Amino acid sequence: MTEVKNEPENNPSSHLLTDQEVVTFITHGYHIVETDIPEALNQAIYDEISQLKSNPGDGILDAVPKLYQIYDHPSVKGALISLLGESYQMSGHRHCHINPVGSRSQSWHQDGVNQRHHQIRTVLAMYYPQDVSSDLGPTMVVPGTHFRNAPTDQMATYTNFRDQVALTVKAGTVAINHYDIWHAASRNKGDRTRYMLKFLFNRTSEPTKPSWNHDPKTAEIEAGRLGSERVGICSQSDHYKERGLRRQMWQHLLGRSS
Amino acid sequence: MSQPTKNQIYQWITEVRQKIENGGISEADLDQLTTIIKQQQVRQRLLYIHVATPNIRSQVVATGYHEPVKGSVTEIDPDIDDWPYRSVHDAILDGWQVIQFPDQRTNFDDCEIDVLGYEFILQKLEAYDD
Repeated sequence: MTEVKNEPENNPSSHLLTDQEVVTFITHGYHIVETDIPEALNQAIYDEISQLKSNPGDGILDAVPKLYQIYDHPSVKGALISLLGESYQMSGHRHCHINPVGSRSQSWHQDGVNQRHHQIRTVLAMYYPQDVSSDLGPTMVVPGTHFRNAPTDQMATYTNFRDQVALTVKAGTVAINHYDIWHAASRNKGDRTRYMLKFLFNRTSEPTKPSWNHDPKTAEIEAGRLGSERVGICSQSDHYKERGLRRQMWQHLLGRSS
Repeated sequence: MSQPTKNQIYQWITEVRQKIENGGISEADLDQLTTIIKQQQVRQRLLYIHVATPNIRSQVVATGYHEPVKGSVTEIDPDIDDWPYRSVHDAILDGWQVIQFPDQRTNFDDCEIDVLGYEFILQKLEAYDD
């Protein structure tokens, strides 16, 4: 186990997101946490997963207990508290996504079924135990699509989006995505298997106040982006509606709506 | 028509011109031309273009090419930087033909958003020699 000292940097409250980061999560639907998890720990997790005889599904945490250290990392916890509140909980559902050499890209999809609200109730926290370059099958996301109630079937004819983003990351990174964001694994053209651990985290209580590093003056300025920033090409009508949905999410996080 | 097929036909024409000067062509020459034409297969290339509005001049949101070749793959490319068309109109100028237009009367909701863009399907009929 990595020893966690009682230093301020080890306290999640020192790693809460800023207003700017929360607003960016609302507009884009994801936030990248670059941790200082030691390379030796990432490598040990990579090696332990490689040695599993089969994919344990929800049992991955029991099979590789070192993963607790990832999701207990203060910068990961700080981001989760910021988005889901102090009382967030890890879901019992989780999965180790194995992207072997020579795979083909997945189709675009949302996990599960569409959620008919525009709040942050569940996030997908994707941990990468190895560096992911563009040829190692990075996770792809389409910013802003977490507001779109589109069944996965209706995404089947999309291939490449002008605004798609490849999550090319360093080992130890945790990408926190809104549950509804459109995403897909891409082809692994590299020379080693790419692993991605997808853990779900849920909100358990309604927000009554901001749970991040909130400053009302900064927030007022940042919130202006909710009504103006374009994160991708879409119609003007969609953009008007998107602005309204962003404000709903922001108001909910501030504790001003149910 | 593919370039190899065109070249074969041009060569056939050259040879036949010489034959005409030297007394005329025969049934065998026409059989040869028939064989050349039969060698090529016309197949349908497909291009799915999603654009911001139902207007053919609006901005491209996404594209997907489907080549009529056995084993061809259409998939997400993290490194894609080749976007030859800014609109459906650009693709038409390059010889693509629209075979499906989006329905302007799509489902409408005052607040919610769903799929991204409007889908046009285009084709190019091209000859393949295999």
